[in-house]
Amino acid sequence: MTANEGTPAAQNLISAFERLTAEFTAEIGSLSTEQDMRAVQARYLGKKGKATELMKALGRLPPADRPAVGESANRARAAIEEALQARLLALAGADLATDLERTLDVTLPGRGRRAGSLHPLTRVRLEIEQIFHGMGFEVRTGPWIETEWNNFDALNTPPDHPARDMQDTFFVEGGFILRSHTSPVQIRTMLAGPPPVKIIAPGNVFRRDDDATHTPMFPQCEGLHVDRKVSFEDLKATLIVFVQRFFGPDTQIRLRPSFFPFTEPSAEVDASCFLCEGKQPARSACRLCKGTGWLEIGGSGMVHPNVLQAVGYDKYDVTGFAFGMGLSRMAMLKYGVQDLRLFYENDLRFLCQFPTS
Amino acid sequence: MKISLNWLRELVELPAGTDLEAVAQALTEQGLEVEGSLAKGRELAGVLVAEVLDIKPHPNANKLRIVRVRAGLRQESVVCGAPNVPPPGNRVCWAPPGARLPGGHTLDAREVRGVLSPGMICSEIEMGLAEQAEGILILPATAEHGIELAQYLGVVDEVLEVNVTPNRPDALSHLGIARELAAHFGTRLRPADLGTVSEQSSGITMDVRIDDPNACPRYTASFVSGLTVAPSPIAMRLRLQYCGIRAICNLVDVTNYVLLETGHPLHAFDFAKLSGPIVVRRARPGETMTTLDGLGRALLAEDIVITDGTGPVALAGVMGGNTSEISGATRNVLLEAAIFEPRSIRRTSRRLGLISEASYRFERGVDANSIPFAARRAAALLAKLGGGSVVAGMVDRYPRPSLPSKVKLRTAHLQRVTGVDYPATFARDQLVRLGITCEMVADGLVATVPTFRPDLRIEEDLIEEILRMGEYGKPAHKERIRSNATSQVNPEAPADRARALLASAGLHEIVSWAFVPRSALAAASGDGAQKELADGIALQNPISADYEVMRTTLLPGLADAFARNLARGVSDAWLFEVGRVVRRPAQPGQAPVERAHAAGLITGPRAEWLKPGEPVDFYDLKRIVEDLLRGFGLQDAQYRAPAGVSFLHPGVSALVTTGTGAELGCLGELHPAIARRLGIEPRVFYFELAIAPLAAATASLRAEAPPRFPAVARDVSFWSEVSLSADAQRAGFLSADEPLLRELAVLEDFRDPKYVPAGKKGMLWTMVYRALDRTLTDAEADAAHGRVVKALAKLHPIEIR
Repeated sequence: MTANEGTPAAQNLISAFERLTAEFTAEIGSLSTEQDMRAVQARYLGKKGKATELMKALGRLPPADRPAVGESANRARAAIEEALQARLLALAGADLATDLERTLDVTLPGRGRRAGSLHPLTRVRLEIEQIFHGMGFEVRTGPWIETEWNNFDALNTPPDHPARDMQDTFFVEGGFILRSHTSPVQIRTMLAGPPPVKIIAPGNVFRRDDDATHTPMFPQCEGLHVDRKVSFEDLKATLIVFVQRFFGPDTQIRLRPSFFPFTEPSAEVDASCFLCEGKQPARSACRLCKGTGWLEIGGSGMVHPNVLQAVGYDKYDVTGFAFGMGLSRMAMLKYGVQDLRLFYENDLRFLCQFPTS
Repeated sequence: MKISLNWLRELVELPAGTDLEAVAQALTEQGLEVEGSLAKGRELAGVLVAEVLDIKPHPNANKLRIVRVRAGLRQESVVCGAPNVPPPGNRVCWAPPGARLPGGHTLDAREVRGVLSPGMICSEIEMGLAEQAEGILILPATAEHGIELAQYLGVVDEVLEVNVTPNRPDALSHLGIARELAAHFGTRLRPADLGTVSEQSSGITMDVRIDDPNACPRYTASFVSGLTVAPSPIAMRLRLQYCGIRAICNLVDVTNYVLLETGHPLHAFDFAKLSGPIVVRRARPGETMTTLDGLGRALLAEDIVITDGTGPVALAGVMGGNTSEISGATRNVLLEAAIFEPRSIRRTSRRLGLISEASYRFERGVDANSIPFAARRAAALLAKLGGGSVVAGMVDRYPRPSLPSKVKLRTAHLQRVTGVDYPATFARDQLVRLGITCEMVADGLVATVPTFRPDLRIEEDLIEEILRMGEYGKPAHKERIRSNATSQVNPEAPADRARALLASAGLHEIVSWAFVPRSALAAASGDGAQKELADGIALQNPISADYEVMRTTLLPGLADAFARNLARGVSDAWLFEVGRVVRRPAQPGQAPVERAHAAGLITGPRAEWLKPGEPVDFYDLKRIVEDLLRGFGLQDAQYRAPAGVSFLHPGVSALVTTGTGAELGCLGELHPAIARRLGIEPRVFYFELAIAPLAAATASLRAEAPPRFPAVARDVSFWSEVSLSADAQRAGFLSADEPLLRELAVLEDFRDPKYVPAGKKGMLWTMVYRALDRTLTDAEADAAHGRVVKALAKLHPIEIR
């Protein structure tokens, strides 16, 4: 059955429902929010809406006409909802497009407080600890305030040795001293237990010096490996691995005979200059190594038998090597810092260059 | 130590072409580090040795003369104003046109009062050879005219700065360095030829007695008579000057020259001023003497003195006395060559602040058996330069002879220590190069160590000598290192964790001195109100008042760093330090207590975008501390006021403890009065925490899965007494023991007097309710919230808004 086949009244109603859809579409065309459109929709489809009014006439139609008219009413409802959704979708698309037009200046700085910094001496210590940790060295520490025995006597530095002069060592009340090197940590560690011992001992040490190239407090890092069959060759190997990890894989070492009371044989340790790489003509003009091609990085040697004896180790059974380096020097080399005093002036304009890791 | 390369070349043969760099490298490789070198005499060029032919007056000037000189084939007439132009036949130094003098001055021919003068006749000052001189330099008539003066005098030289370690007294001389080079290059040593010295049998002598052979194991006295005091020859003066010693006169210069050459200190006494006999003994209590520098010295029994019957005439090994000093009138000399106990010399020289070339060597050890050579060398030079003669018969007292020592070296030990399988014969060959004789035995060798090497006492000393000659430089073998991670905890790890956390929070790490001025501790402690802060462990020999006392708190260092940054225009310095403080021990006599602390300070505006925000306050500081504690896994820290800390504002500060009450530290606004005393004007917020209890309180981390059912939030707003703390309110809510309550937090603490009743504050809390097994209904949440609020109201008078 088609609309044409129904009564005129039925046909009028069907037309009215069809007009309703067109009217609704026109009416919401000028609206921009869903809320407004829903209000309009209520006027068409709500309890007192236009569709409901039209439906009241349905009861007056002959029963045969009712299904066709009811169907057109349903079509109108569906069409209105569809028109609404279509309009909403179009609006959302327009909103999204507008939203996507937003831009900003990405070169403005980020918000909030910046992360702080780790002191260069901390950074360099952490790096050195990590390298030696990888070679099986444990980190040990000891007190700043030490006995003369731990700082000197046990380290084969008898009374009247130049290092014991008043002008070098700080004395504190109670018969103690401020340790003048980290070597007493060697003594404490060996006294605390039998060999093997494989440690590094970073920490501050103190000497009565205060000028452009000396500070009364400065950090050192000591290393000690005592065991059966630890040899000068092991010392060399440890040092070359260290300098290559710290300065770069092409770095070489040079050991020079030297003297420290607590080692025999003793050696100064030089690393090849990583800036000029020892090559002429860059070497001649190199500010870092001053033309020598080498950078002094520390002292080393085989633990003196008197030291092993002082801590009760069997000097006929075990041997060992020890080394030490100044962390300020390592930081100066690593970060290209020319002036030692910068590490202690705590000027933020200097410190803020060292990120947290 | 300064070493002249020319001088070395006299004392040792070197392979052809061995230049400065080769010598420096050889010495450095062998442990005598050459720290640098100075090229000498390069500024003097073209000055010639010239013979004076005749002297005429200057036509236009009384004080000037015209001197005709000859240099090789050249002859010129030069205008000269010096008063000491020598008679014809003598030699002078002529700087002809084109010659260069120090200071970059190049000579030309120019008119002097109407007479053209081709260059000039020079004094030592003009040639840069001395700082003072009287008139022009006159050379011996034997000097060949026409040759370059620089060449004639050995002016062109290289002076090496050699760092001799304290164990190598044998290397503290040109001869000692030459010996090292001979060993390195395998060449011959050429010690100065003593030649045949004509000795006079008749003449002066004096007996010598040693009272304390421990103090003085050997003493020799040589006598030289008929001397005339005069300046030393220019070549000798130059060498002394290059090596850092001021020339005085021939008799004194010879002792210094031989010292630099042989390493043996010598002393020349004016024989006429000695009453004799010479007695070497310890000083007596109350004895005094005046040393060469004119200062009166009070002597102690540890000092060794040379006496002549009237009293001390020299402080042995340190400095001579002024009563027996060489003067212009000296004719006869007693030349002392001796050795003294190193320990005594060291103590005496340190006590009196007299560190001389002699004491420096004596305290390191001088070879007793080299005395005769040094004495004969010096006596012969004295006689030669002073025009006198050596008296036959050196007096030699040697009660404690030094003998070569024998040190055994086991091949197995050599191999164990070095890690290289060196054969015994290799060890022997290396040692023989150094003048050490070796006897091979079954398990190694026995070395006979000459007395000039007192440092070689044990096997390991020999091992260093064996390696020293070229083995140190052999390449390292990296494959010996096998990575084996360790099991031990790094004791620095908690401190390093604090560093990382604080740096992430926006603070910058500083490092400050461990010692601080006493005044800073007085300020921090509120003038002793907090005794453990005021009473720092003192240094007995501080460098200055700025480094007087060990810090008891990190505050002075941070305050100082902050003030300095402020002065440099950095106004929002957020700083931290992690380091040790030192406190007095519980029992006197115990070692002081060292504890690691973490401290920090913040100030200035809160960071907002592109503009400064509100100034930071206590709660910004507290967030940093909370995050630090959370970083250590500490969830239950307690904050208690009043802190009662001398350096914090009494109302804006808190003590921090763990949940179990262990004290961690404090935080708050820096006390304004104390801040001012520490040089800080702006309002700053400061915390200081101990690392050890923080690390100890660290609980192991436990995590929960996120809840499966949604939560319901409820707020409550009420008036409460101002004195009712947030912690007390929280405790009140929690006293409900409500199982559905999961979280509660303060949203607001509102105190604006315009809206808030007097004595009250407006609080806004938010609570989160959740069941583990179902979604809560509104009714359940409301009921739970009601119970929680009621629990607080039961404990404290609050008024729900």
